[in-house]
Amino acid sequence: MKWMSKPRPSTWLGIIGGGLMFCQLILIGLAHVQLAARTSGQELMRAQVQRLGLSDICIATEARYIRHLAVTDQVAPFMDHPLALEYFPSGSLWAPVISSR
Amino acid sequence: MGPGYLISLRRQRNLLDFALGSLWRARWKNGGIVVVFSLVIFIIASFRLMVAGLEQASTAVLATVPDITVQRLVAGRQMPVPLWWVEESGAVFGIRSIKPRVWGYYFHETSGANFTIIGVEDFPGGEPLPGVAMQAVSADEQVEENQFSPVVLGQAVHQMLALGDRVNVSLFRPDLTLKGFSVVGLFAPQTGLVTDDLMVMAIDDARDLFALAPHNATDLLISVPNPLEVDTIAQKLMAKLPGSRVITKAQIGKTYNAAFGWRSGFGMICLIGTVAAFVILAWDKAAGLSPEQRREVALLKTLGWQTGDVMAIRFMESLVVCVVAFLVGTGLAWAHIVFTDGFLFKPLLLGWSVLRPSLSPVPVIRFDDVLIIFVMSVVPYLAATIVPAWRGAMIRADATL
Amino acid sequence: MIIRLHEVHKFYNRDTPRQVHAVRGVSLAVQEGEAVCISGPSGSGKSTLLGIIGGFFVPTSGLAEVAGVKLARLPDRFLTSYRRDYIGFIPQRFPVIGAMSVLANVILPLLPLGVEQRESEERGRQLLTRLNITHKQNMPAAELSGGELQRLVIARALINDPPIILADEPTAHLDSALSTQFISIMSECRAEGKTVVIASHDPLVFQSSLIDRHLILEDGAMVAG
Repeated sequence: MKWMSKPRPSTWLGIIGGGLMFCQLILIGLAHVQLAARTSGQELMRAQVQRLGLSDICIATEARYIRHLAVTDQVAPFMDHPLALEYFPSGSLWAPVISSR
Repeated sequence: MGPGYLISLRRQRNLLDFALGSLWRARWKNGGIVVVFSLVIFIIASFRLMVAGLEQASTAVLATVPDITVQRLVAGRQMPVPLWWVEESGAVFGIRSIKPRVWGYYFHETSGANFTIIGVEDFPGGEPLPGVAMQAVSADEQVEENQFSPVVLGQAVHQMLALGDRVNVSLFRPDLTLKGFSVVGLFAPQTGLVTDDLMVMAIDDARDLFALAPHNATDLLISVPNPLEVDTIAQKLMAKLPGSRVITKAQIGKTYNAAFGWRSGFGMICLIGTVAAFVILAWDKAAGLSPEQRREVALLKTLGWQTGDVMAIRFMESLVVCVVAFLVGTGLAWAHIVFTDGFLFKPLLLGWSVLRPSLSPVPVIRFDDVLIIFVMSVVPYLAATIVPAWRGAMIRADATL
Repeated sequence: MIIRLHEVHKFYNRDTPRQVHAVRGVSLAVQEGEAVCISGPSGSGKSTLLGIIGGFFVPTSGLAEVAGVKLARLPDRFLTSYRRDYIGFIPQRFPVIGAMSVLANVILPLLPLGVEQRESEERGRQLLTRLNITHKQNMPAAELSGGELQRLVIARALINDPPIILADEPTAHLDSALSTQFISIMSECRAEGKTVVIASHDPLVFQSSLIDRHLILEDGAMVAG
């Protein structure tokens, strides 16, 4: 039984690979649990979208082309945020400086 | 020796042991490659998973956008829609309902945020707002009923206004006079993705706030029961209403995907650079056979190893590096999405915003995303190492002589 | 006849300005169990001849038949299998994979054959015991002394129990004590019925009792033997 005392490299690979797979499965399981939690409001949101006729999600509320695409003016000279100076795409990555008055 | 498949299996395992041994001998170099490769896969996978999650959220939520939105353009600019358009459109056969709506943006100077104001006809009575617990207006406010109009706020708006327990809030009209509102409800927090920036009020109050002429609306929402008729009805409306812009549900979806695709496309292009850099590194590492490695291959050939055997160990080495890096990288990506809400890529995917719903990316588990990640990372690495490995394996046995 | 060469020629870089006619019409027959030494000055074609017998390269013309296998027209794949099945090769300078253990080096030829690891290690240990270096079996091969390295390489050549042992200048880097040791190990192999072919210009080798026949090459042609 001498061979049992020193595992072969492929055995190590199996152990490490199996461990990684296991971690992966755990994480996917956790993700799956969160999937339910994070989509719980979606039914309600669908109803709101229908009721109010919303055309977008409010991810970037400063920009008409994102928040309400249906009213995009492609040639609009200024962005909708009164303090923003830049224009798309650069302007969408840099926030305006809002001094706390 | 046993049956053929058993010999073949033992042969593979022997070669795998040898491959692992040679990986282990250069453990710092190979460890470094695994770390860098894991990082590359982590970035690609996180990005892909975030995009998939946002796509899922938006398509699920926006399945119910209005079938047709009618707007009015004057000199290329959006202008209010006259209400006689409602009667005019009503004559088109196949329309279930037409709702005029007033909406616009209200810039709140103190917080620097833009609120979205929506004025609807049947408010506060009529069809209830989903996800809003309407509060009864207290006795105090009933006295002032005439001055204070009812409004329903999104959670983020409520916070930005710093109302606390107070229910009354005043907003400026364009002429800087104040219009008072009293908060009769808040949107449920879990619906923040669509409601966080909203102030919903009666259509007349919205007109008053924006100093919009009576008999005007911002746009019309038209509901069509038969989806096959949407395009035909849109055509008819366009012909009937001079200067109108008629937008269908399908067009909104398309434009939305384009704007969103811009961000993910931008990110993907950055990532392709990362992958390319890594592939060059992998090629360089695999192609530069040291004299020691050349001697090793020649020795193995001398000892009766076939070219295929040498190829097999090189392939196994690459595969082990790939699979370990893939598992580590995607595992980290899952953790990134699940535990940290994808904080690394949120800025790139969402841009900046003063007011923003507390968005947690939906961890969508889709086989094709995993496949994309695999194809974008593992396949280029294997391709980059296989040619140098093949060239290396072609070293002849007589090099030992 | 286990080894039969007839009118073998070998050119390197044929039809180029750097053409070398390394072996010129050598004919040779070796009996099973015979020990032959091929000597000659360096560049005389000893190594090339050994390479032809060992299946490292094919002759440009002529007949080469070893253990019933005609080597002249074999593609590389089959030469490799031939080498694996019939040849125990002891190269000059004793190349090993230094970072691997002695035992792992010895069983290298068995890995692609699908031999169970326990079985191959057992065979390796038996050989190491026979060659008196069992105590070093788990040491990295790079840490061995010259004499131990020599025994490792011999053990590796014998692991597959080949009928023919080829050695290329085995004593060139050994002192006389180790050279004597090498000759005695080879004598044992010969006593077991293996055919031994050594390319060496070391008188200690070709004058020893091990060698049945001493062939001399000069400028690619056989001049004595």
